[in-house]
Amino acid sequence: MHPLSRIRNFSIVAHIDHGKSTLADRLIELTGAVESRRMVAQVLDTMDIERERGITIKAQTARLPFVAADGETYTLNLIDTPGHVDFSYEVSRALAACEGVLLVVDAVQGLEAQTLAHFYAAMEAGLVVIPVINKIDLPHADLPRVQADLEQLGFLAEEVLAVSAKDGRGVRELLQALVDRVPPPQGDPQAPLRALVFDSHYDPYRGVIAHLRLVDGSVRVGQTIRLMAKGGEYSCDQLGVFTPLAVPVERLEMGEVGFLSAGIRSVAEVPVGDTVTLAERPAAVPLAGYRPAVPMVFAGLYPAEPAQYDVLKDALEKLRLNDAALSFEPETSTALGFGFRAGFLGLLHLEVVQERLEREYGVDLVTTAPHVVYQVQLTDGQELSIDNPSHFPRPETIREVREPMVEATVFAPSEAVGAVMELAQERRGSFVTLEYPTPGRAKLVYRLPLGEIMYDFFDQLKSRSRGYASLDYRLADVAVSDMVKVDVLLNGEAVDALSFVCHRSEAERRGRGLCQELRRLIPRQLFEVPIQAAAASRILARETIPAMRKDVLAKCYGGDISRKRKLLEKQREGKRRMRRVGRVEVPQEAFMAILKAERS
Amino acid sequence: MATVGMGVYVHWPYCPSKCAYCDFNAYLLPRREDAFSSYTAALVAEIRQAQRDGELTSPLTTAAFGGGTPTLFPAGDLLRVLAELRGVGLQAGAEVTVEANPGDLSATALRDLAQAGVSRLSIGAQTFSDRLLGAIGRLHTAEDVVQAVQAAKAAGLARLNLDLMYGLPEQTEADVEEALNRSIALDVGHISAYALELEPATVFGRRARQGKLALPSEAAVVAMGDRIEARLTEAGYRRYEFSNYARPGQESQHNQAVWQRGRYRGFGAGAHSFLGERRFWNLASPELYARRLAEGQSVVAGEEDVSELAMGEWVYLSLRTLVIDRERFRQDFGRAWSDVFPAATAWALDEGWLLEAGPCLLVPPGRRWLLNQVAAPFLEEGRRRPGTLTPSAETG
Repeated sequence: MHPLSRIRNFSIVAHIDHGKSTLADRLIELTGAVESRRMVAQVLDTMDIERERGITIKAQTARLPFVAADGETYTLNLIDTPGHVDFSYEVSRALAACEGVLLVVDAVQGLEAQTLAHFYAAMEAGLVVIPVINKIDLPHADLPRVQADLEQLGFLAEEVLAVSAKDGRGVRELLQALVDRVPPPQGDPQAPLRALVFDSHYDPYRGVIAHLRLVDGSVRVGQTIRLMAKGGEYSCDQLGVFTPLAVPVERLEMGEVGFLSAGIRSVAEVPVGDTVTLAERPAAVPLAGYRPAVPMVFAGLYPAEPAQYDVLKDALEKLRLNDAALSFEPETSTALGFGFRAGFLGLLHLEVVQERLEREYGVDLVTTAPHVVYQVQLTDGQELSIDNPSHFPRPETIREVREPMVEATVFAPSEAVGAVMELAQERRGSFVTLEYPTPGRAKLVYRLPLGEIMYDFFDQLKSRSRGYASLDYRLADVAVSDMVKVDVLLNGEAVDALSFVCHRSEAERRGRGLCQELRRLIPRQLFEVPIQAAAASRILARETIPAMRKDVLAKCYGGDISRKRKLLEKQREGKRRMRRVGRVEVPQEAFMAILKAERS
Repeated sequence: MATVGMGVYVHWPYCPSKCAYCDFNAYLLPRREDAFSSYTAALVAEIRQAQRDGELTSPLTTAAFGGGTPTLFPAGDLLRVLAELRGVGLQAGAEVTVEANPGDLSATALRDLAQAGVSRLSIGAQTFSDRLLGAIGRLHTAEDVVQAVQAAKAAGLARLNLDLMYGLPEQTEADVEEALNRSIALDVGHISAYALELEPATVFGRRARQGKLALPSEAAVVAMGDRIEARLTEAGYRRYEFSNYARPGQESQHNQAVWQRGRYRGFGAGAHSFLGERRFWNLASPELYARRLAEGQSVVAGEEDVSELAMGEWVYLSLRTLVIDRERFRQDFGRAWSDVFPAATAWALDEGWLLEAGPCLLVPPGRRWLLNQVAAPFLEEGRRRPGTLTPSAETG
């Protein structure tokens, strides 16, 4: 074991696409932690979905041996962080496990909303921040501008490093800077064990592998550990470090980063942010900052084929082993049958789960439109937490509804400020601050209902700023709002899976938008189908799908037979994928139609 | 008929202009002077190839010349191909149909065709409104149609068909009524009436996507079609296929065989063939088609094994004729109808899509506009192999 003075624990943080994963790859390659012939591009992002989308969802870590200028070998522990706002809590825990961060900025794009968010988070955590301009190999790299931007944040010109993670330029200097600038870990090696859980993953053979940063004390294989927040006790059966491949060790000590397995069955038992201590000599006070994962966004997940219910259930259970933030419980919809109401950290988390269910488990899904949780106080004093719009109480029984609010930070070119403010105003936002951290770039803070930024807010932001605005948000508080439930009636029958909750002032516009979108999506039936949106028994909008009068080919001769038969088969296949609601065949996309209707 | 003989189809891929609704394999006539002769030579070569490969084993009982515009070719070319077909088994007295456009038929050419055994002429009238004819890209007038019919009769071509269209942009009920009256007055034995279908790769398809096509409403199209049926029935024509009406004995034998799932061999660019187990089709480009045949190569562009689909396809084709003869099904497949289609039949009878009449099942008048809806469950059930039969997913 190296002496503590030769350990450096650090993270890389960056706005999405600024090259964090590529830089991590290059660091691993350069320090020889993984032989280069075994390098797969971006070794740290292991899931297919992550690699395709270029974002990191599950953080991973690597221990990098580095021979520094003084001839000594240092241990650089890279703690990778998730790269999306949905996972900001996980990022904060990863940062809490470090003494320093590399703040990576794209040499072309410059500072973005998440760059700033990460920067402030690192400063708040008291970490040493090393500014790194990446992608200097790009022809449009604008070093002087990005350099100037970083100086505006308070960095000295000589602190800023310039690298190309792609071709390796400047990476050695960066490793040396980690040794020189990041302090070694501080703590009490003799004190009772306190280890921060900053990540975990599920291994089908060993159970949960918890990723730890030891803050005080040490732990050996065979000791009984205790989780201070969750309360479980387990016998530690393996310890190890990531190189990034898992290598077992007998003992982990203060300041080190490694993993622990103890026959734990689900990641939910070892939540990120919890403190591991020893049962026989427990620490008195846990590490600060633990917060249980709170799902923010809920959606119904139903199997497209009712017979696939068990497959879906099994798949969700397997996913939950590895994803403590995913919650779900059975629910029944009159329109969609048996399924689950699932909770997610945010929309991206929902999309990732959806994709994994479909891709890895082969489940064909119908997903209902995502909703936030409303706190409803009834006139009789009862408090309800509503995560499914179809359970929203009747208006006359409601005293007050509270909705979750976020503080959203938008970073945009100054000429787009007007457009961004207009958008935020439309979404019931209230202005907080406007600053110009660097010339020509504005930082705009708004307080917005989470429900309003869930759907197309980000798309709208991008389009109204011609692609230049970036968004970061964190949950702020709740606000009393005049929310109503809007029901959709198809052929006179309310379809629970299509109900949604929105602000009273928006109900008519959205109801109309949804009816129009449904008229577009639902094919004509053999009878006329009225589509109505209603709130509190009042009809807000009505559209009609006329009955199908004609479905026949004009011609069918020798040359047409194959082509026309295939046409019929395709039509039939489309029909098979539909859900039957009452007498009406409804395509699966219809249950997500509210997302599109928002735009109308 | 289907079991004993087979039909031949010959495709003539050139047109003097391209109609706004047409997505057939048809090309504007190229400037090359030898385009006709090299194409005709290729047809002859393909016929010989088929004969050599044993594809023409049965007597050839019908022949149809379609296109494009067959009569754009010199009459000599048509006669040469017809003679070649006689040489490979086209029977004397077989029905030989030639499609023609009004306006390009000389009296001499008609007489030559009739003498060579062409027994039936199908004339693309489309409508009797000169305004509409211009709008859909036809080069002839209503008067040309009248003259073409008279000339054909004078040449001794007794079996005549007029093609009509309805549901055209800006077409009115009065336009349809006039077309019916004038067609009936011309005393032809056969009338085909097609509702306009928008094909993506046509002028109309493009205009419709741009929202620039004033189409009659679906209800108006249905009303036009219903009017056509009523008027033609009253005038002594029988609807023997969704879009085809004939006086007794004037039905197209060639097309009837197709709807009975009879075999046919198609010659020419893009032509389709069906030899009982497989369907295949030729290269679409006339130039490439002619070049390959000149080099003695195959011109098959694609094929599909339809043996598993046979029973479903049989029903789907029968439905075109609005009558399913379950006894003929048993003869064709050696299996009882009720064993193959129990679920689809029960559904169709319950829901009133079909009516029972002895061995036959009829499509009642009220359901004819929704023929695809009836066909789909049968196509599906007919595809299943014995032993995997389960009640249909369709529950109505």
